[in-house]
Amino acid sequence: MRSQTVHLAAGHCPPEDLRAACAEPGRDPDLVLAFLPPGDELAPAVAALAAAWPDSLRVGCEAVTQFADAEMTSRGSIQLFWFDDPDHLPAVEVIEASHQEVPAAERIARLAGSFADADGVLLLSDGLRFPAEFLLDGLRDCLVDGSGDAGNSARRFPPVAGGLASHREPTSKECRDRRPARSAATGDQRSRGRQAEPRPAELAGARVFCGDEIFPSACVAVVFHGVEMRVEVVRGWEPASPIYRVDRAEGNVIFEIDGQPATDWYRRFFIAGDQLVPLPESSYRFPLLLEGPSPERQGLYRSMRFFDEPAGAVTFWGGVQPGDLVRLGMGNGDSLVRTAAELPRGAAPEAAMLYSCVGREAVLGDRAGQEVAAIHGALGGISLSGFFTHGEIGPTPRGRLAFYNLTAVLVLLAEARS
Amino acid sequence: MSPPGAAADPLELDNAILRNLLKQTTRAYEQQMAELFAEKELAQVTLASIGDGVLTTDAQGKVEFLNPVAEKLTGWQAGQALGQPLAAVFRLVGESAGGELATRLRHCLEAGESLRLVEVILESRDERRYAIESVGSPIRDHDGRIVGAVLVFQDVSDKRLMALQLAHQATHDELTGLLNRQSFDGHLQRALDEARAAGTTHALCYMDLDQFKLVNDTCGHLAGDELLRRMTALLQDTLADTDLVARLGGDEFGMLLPRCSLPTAEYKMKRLFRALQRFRFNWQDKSFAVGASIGLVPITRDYRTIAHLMSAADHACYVAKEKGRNRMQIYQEDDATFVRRHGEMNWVVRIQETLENDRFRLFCQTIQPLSERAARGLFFEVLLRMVESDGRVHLPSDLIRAAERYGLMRSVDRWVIHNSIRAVMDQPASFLEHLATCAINLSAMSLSDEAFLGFVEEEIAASGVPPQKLCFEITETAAIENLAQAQRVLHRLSGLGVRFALDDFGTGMSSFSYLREIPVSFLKIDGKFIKDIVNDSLDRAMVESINQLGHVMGIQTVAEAVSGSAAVDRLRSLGVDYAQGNWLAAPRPIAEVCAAQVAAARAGGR
Repeated sequence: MRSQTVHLAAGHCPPEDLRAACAEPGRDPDLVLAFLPPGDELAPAVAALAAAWPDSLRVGCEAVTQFADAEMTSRGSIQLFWFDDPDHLPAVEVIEASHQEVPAAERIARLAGSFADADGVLLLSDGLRFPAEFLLDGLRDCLVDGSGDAGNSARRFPPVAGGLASHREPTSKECRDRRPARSAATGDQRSRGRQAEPRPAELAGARVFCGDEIFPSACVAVVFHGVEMRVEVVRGWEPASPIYRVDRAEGNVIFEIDGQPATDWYRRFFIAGDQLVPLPESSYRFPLLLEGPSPERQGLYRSMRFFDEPAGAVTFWGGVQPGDLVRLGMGNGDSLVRTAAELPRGAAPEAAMLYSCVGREAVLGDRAGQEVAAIHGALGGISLSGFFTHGEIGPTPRGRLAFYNLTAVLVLLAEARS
Repeated sequence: MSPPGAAADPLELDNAILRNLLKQTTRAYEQQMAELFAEKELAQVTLASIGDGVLTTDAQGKVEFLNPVAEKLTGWQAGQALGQPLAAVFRLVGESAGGELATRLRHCLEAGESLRLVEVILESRDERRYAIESVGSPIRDHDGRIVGAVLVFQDVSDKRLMALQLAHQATHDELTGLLNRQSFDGHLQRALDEARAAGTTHALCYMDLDQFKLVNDTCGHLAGDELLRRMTALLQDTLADTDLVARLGGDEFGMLLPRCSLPTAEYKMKRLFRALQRFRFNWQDKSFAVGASIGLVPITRDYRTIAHLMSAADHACYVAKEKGRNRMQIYQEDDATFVRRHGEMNWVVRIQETLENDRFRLFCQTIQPLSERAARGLFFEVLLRMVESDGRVHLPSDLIRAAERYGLMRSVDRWVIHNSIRAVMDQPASFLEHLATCAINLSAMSLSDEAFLGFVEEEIAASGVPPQKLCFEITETAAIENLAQAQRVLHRLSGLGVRFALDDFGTGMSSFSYLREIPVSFLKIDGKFIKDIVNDSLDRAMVESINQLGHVMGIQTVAEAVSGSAAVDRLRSLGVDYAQGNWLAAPRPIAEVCAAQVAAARAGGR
């Protein structure tokens, strides 16, 4: 496999730059992965990619801040792939849905079915309107890990990773209505969902595209065959408080922790003098760490999204369940960059993708670019693309599929040698 | 610090948050420490409070902890023992025990095997020794690694002593501490075996105190008990340490003189008599000379069983009493005694055969009401007859001596009870309405039989006979001899509704006070006071006082052996409640009496 990152100029995809990128391989890329600046520039950029490589598989999404090799950029990042074996061309699936119209169980099962013989799956989705956690829960139910210790009907669990994109902060109302009920949508749920639906002007999630088509609320799955896909979850947070129990929670909202309203619990930590510090901004360096009791949920992080003091509720970017054991963590630029540079050893990858949380970007501040630079350096300068996310998808320490906040999910690819 | 908000310095806010985190963490840490401390204190208090010794070692077998009991038993203070090898602190007596402990501890620490030590001797640092039992287990950390061992051990010295005491109780008489009958029989059997096998001669003496009953009756049971203890001391002082002395019954003692010729045994008994002559038993203001009758039997191969030996000794003792008491009689098997003993043995076989072949027959004698208080309805005493294979019928007096001597009375009593109840229950249902009382005789042997109560309760429950219709007759002597047991049996069965009669009342009488202790419904005045009641004013006075006594205590009276109308009139005038005797009604088969009652009831009903 050969991979190359195209560093774009501001505002558009110059055809000459795109063509120049293919000079050395001498043929159009098999796969084009593009993370493009949001807004009106998306449609022309997608059209430019189609014009340059009409026969290539082209997928991607909008993102505010992208990675192109060692650089952090807002001009967009395009990663091109050439596979040595024509049989290793990936497959692509698109699943459209919203929190109000969650995907049907059959659709999720069909998607999981397409993972059957895959060596890895990359998921890119809108982080605001698309019900990503709902999809992940459904996929987890359909798949098992490689050990195959579930029943025969369960499918093999390939490595799955990716990121959720969003190009602006959502409103508080969007936060509260983000996660639907787990079961298939009923009339009541649809009715509730419609009541909660924000005004169209407020919906500005990240669009995904596949080929020439742009989807306002969807997830695109790139299913790799004949490619070794390794996923590393980069953390860099240390435990900072005792462990407490979540008493009441629903979706991504915690109402009570340790016998008191969630906001009061946060007040124990987030006051200066006798005043509450600005939230959620001040909480970025002190994320919520999940410590169990379910092994499946151990090691997950949750980033605060909304602090609703009158209601006593705190909303996060990921789901929290009653009975979860939680504590506050802490980290800073040093710990995040240092952890990013400490990649585990393994087979040399030929391409990399990095999906790092916007919460990390906030903590890193001026040093935001150091993380990707450290990782790119550790990887020996191979082609790398990615973006700052509003949620990461990656394996738990036990190998299952999880929805993360505040991590950097690093996807490493190498084509299998026959 | 500037106020939080847009203008706040993020670093300052972070510092404030970090301080809060530290405060909360410290608070939680302190709380956890307090909880851990409380847990540790509780554990220490528990360990200090439990009665077992607890000792722990590290993975190398070095002592880490001793609780107070372990400190006491090992003689080591916990601080001194710390870091010492287990074998130095937990010191077992005997090389093999020490080696075994080391091996087992190694297995415990290396392979995680539990260890158990039973009744080993632990020697403390101050050289005290304790019999202990111990169990040990490996101590594991959270990851399952063995980090040491814990030994829990207890001092079982008392338990051991108790076991010895129990063993002693099983073989010794509680009152005197002498061997009991069962244990004595064992020694006697071994002596007889030796005599039969090797021709060795031993001697058996059977002693019966002559004045015991007098002391008991005049001064009470406490005095009687004290007399037995003093007599025990006298016997032990007089006889050699190798001679065995046992208490065989109330005031009967057995002495086994091992490897002792007849002249030597005679000499020893004479010395015993001399000691007895000097002995005075003083109780409060009374002083008693105590005599004894002793039967002496040389144990030779001529005897086949210890039953023969005991029978011979008993007989010799009886002859000594007959000859005027306070003397010794050497057993000589003359023709008459041989015939009698042989006859008794013969009876034993015959009784057993009769029981096995169900050839006992039940008769009964009705008891007539005399007073207004007396209940109307059929009242009879069940009587036993033995029918031999050739049709000869024997009265109980023929067989009871042998049955009592050879332990068959319990079986006979049970047969009588079972069949009497069955005879009653075989009658039409209306019979029970006309039955006042069915009285069944009970031997002293059954009264002291631990299983008797259960037997009677089962019989009553199985048959469905109303317990109120049953009455057990026991002799006054049987009741007094074992008053505690009699009380237990009488109270328990009275609770069911069963009634009791004291038979032959007046003959063994020494005190009426015990009547308060047992629930009795009838006093059956002995026939010797009734036979001449018409002419003998003393007998009359006796009957009158017994009758008055009974009525004062709410007990009805029955005159036995009533032999004429004049006697009936006299008894009626004295207020005696019932009369019984052959003149009134001769014994008849129980089925016949019951059938007559049923027929009479039917006739009356018509």
